[in-house]
Amino acid sequence: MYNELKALSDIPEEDFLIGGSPTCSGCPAEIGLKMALKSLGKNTIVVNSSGCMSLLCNYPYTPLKVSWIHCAIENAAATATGIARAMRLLKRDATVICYAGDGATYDIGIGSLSGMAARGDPIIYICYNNQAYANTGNQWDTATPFLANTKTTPPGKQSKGNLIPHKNMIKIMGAHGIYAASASPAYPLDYMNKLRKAQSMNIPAYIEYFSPCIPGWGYDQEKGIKVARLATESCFWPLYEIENNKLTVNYKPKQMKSVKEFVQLQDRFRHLTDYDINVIQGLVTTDWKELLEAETCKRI
Amino acid sequence: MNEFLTGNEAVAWAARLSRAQYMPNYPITPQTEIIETLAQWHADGNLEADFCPMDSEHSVMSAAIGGSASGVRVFTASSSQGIELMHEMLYIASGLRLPIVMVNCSRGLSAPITLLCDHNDYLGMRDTGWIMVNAQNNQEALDSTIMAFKISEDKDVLLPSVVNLDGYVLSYTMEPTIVPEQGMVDKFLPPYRPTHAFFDPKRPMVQGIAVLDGVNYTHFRKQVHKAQLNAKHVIEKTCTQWHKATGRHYGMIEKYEMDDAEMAIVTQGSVSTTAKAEVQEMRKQGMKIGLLRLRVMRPLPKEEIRNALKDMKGVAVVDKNLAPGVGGIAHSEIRDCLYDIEQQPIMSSFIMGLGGKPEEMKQFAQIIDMLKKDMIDKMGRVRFV
Amino acid sequence: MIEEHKIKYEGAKGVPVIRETGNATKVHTGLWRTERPAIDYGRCIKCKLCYLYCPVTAYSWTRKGPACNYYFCKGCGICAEECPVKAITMVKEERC
Repeated sequence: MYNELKALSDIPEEDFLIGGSPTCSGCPAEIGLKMALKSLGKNTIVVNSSGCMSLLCNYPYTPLKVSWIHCAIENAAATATGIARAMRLLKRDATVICYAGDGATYDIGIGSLSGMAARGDPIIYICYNNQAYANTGNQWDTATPFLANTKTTPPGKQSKGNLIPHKNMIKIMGAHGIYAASASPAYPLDYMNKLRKAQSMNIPAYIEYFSPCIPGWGYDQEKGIKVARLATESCFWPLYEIENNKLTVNYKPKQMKSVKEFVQLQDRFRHLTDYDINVIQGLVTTDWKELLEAETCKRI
Repeated sequence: MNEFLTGNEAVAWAARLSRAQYMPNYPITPQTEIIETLAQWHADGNLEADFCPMDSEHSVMSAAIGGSASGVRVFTASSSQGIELMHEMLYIASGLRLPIVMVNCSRGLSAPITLLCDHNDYLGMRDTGWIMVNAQNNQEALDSTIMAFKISEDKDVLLPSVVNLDGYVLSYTMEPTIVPEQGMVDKFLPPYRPTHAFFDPKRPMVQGIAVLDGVNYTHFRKQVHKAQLNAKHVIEKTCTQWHKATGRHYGMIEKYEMDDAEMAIVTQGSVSTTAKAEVQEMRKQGMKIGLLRLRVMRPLPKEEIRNALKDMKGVAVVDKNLAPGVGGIAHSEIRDCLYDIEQQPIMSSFIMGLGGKPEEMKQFAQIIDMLKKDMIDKMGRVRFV
Repeated sequence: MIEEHKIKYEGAKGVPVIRETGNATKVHTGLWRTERPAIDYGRCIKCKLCYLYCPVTAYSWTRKGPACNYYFCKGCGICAEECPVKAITMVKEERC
């Protein structure tokens, strides 16, 4: 049982991430961390992997009012295990969370993340997914969507961009038997409630937060939340959760929007023809149907 | 109490007696017996620690950093490939000034893959900022591990430590070992109470921050350098306290028959005992030979080495490691210590015992013969024994 | 230039940690922006979305509605874009 937030007015007012950080203006990943800390409260210790958010704390300033440690890129989950075990040994009440990018989670850190999920320590791993290695300049990683333009999968005379379909990390982590869910900044109550639910369950949790990237995806800086909303409305980024190996879809749009609206706002898809957008639409529709079927059959 | 223990069991006892609180671990030959011993004690309720098997050595050191940064006493163990996998984390552990104690059962590095002993994994750590101690027998490994906690946690140091014992030669070999009483160790080593790095939600702290300007970065690195220099007097102070408590004396180096020696053999680790036996034989034949054992590699005891070797005419540095294209690693370091003296001895490098190659007493006689040849030629050489 | 033995050892203070959490209030990120949000309190329905979405927590909540701390505001425009009644508009920053 947890303290569910039923309306925006229920959201606690205390802020643990304040101004003065050197992140991009309008960065949704920063909004994600702010919302997470608001939801989880002041006894939070944040473990961060190398990535965009590592530069929040730049000596001698920190915009955070909670404890934070930055370790290397691939080991947020392992470091968090050490901290969680130490807090238990020292009998201190703390919620240990990881805030890591998709590059650190999908690729280089998948080993230590899987180990953490298997060990069962109550750590909430939040992956802010900007679908590329954003901090180093937007290179491809295994979270990059099909046909996206990244610096290492650029379109050219012999290529249309990324030709490798991305992994579904939420299902992979759900298969560990832990709590796994997707989240979006455009649906803040859903995100913040999922975090509170994970905190109350006392098992490992994996929350994947959709994080549009202004320089990486090439959209206007004020449209961050709009891009995220269109992603969910077009089922490109569906909101669902996996609990005890059973999948539940949290948000079913009344009218599924065309993926074209979402794609047209971003430069990383600017090279696509109508045919290519139809291919992406086909992939999105298939994945959405599969998700609904999984929900009906009570499996992942 | 007097016991008959393998090196692995001895250091497991040291970790238990030191009341290490958090022990992340991952198996690798030849240190696996350490964690298995600890696991059985934990299962029987004899070990008050969080015994935490991890998914890789990199994760082991990451968890050790997480635990130590939170403010608990951390112990772990690894070898060769594990040390190499966790290599980036070794720098992070010393950069964050976390007093983690790790035991390294040294094993040769792949490729070609081997399981047997050499020192390349241990000496590969020499730039990481860790305090490095090499034991010559199981008793010293046990004693050095307990002392390592005290040295690392000292306010003038605050650096992680590695205690090396030779894989197979010491780790799997049983020797008579005295296991100290818990009461004596508790008096020698009080509980860990950090003031520089800890996690308490009531007093939040930000660790491992980005330091993007060179001036501040250099400042922090200078602090690590200074901490290493401070470690010298802290090690000497701790060894004196240990001597008072147990009667067993250790130092930065060990000198054997060096008083009137004209030639010296320099060794590290378990081969020192074989070398000492041969030095005894050579002394009986009237040769003026001595042995210098390098116990602490970092901080490098430059003064002690210089004073011990300055009057030598020839020095044979026996290295159980190889820097390809250069020769022995300890040879280069010791040569550096002797650069500023007026009359420099002829120094030759002897690469011996790589990948567990057997070290025999008669090989030391051959080493001295070769050294005499080099002294006539007035030129130090690199040789494989 | 300093000789190694003369380096002053700072003990716990020489460890790379920050104990003064939340001290980035000294960093003037407001200098970045080219546009600033202007709030029409007459239209504001006090939904608190601007306050929730602001990445730099520039908004604080007062009785009459949101108050923007222009010291931090980077001028991203998310508050104006997300306001359901368009009570916030981005106007050109007048200072050079």
